[in-house]
Amino acid sequence: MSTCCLGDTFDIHGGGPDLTFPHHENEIAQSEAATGKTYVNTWMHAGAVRVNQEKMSKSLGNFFTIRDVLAEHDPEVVRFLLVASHYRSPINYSVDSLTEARKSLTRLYTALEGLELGAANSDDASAYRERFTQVMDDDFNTPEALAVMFELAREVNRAKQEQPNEAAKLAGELKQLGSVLGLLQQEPQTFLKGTQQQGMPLSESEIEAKIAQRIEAKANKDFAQADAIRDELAALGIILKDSREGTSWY
Amino acid sequence: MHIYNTLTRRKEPFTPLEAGKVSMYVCGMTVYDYCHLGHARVMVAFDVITRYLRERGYDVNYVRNITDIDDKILKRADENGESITALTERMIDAMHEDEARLFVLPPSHEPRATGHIDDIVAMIETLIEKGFAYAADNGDVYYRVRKFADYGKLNNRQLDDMRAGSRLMWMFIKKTRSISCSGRQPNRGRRTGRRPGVTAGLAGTSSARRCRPAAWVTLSIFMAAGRI
Repeated sequence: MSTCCLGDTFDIHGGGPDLTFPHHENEIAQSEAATGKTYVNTWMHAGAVRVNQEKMSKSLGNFFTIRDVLAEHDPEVVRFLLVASHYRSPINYSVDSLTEARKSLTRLYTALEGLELGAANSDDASAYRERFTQVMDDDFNTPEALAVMFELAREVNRAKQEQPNEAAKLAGELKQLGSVLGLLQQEPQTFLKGTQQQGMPLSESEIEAKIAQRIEAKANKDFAQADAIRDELAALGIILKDSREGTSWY
Repeated sequence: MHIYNTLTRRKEPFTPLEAGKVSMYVCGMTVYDYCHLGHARVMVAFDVITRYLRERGYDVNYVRNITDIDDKILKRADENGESITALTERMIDAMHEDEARLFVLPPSHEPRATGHIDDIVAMIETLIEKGFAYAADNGDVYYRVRKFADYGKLNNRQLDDMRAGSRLMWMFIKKTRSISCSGRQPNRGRRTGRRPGVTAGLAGTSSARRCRPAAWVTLSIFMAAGRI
């Protein structure tokens, strides 16, 4: 089927790890025997997925469809987990690894939040883009690429208070690098509220009510109460951010 | 750019066949069930690879097939009491939904096995002509592994070390003409020729519009090693 669209010889053939033998070996045998030409120049195989360190299988009861997983977890968090490992490495899917993925992605979106992003394009020279390119050129080293993005996120956060323009420019770059990995393209608020919404113990109006209570407590100089409310929300995974404009949450 | 090549077991500088272009094929799904995490992993990995290649300025032609005819599909359709096409269409839609939710871009082309039967049959006929394959008495076509000198090169295995007859070593190309327009499964016991009753079935059923006569070939190919 590849000949119709790609010709007798093509650059890259990819697939999962279990296909190397006999499937891919047989593809070579049949194509090269039939055409007399080299079938593929580069073979790329992805690593396996394990669930809680075990092979995924129906008999072990740890078999998950994508739909099963997306019913419980934010799709971009799942994607982050899949991208955070090198494509050839095995991935371990577990509650812990998903929680880590969510925290990491939250850090990146938090950096982008509250800024008017400057539009960045691939031609802009920057140390981050250069390093990103270097590591991705090395057999698509996505974990290293993400490390570059986290560094950039830290820079954005540092610049946010004093140099908003610089922060906006860097944030634009961060978002553009994210697009290469298929990440960070949502509105930050959408993602940040969304991940908290899943399994959230309080509704938005309930949270707003609590925030109002806290503001009142502070107005009455009852700081202990204000802190108690803040801690209560934090325990539920809801973070409050005080600023000149008011209190926002995610 | 360097890419690790399973064939040579090392990272190699990437030189495309045609400057500025990349032709890539990734094995897609057999659409008898919903996609699982393993599929997600492969889809996302090659999605990132495609995006990055394009970012680097390559014009990427990314082809990912859909195996929409296979024993697993026949079995599942039978279990569900639905036609093959009803099952595969449903599973293909589900796959596209899952893909979109994971921010995976659609491939450039997504050819389906059922749309390429003629090509597959033509290749089998070429293999037979060149002496790499032969038809057995029951209509199955076998591939002569020993005639292909390089067999084993992708996995660094020697032919002699492989046990003939072991499940992994069997490769045969099932060439079957079967029509299943009424939802009944083709009789798996008989594999050669057209079944007389089926033509009548085709003419008579309203579901004839939904499917068409097809010579279909299972794409898992088995090889008979020590039999030559």
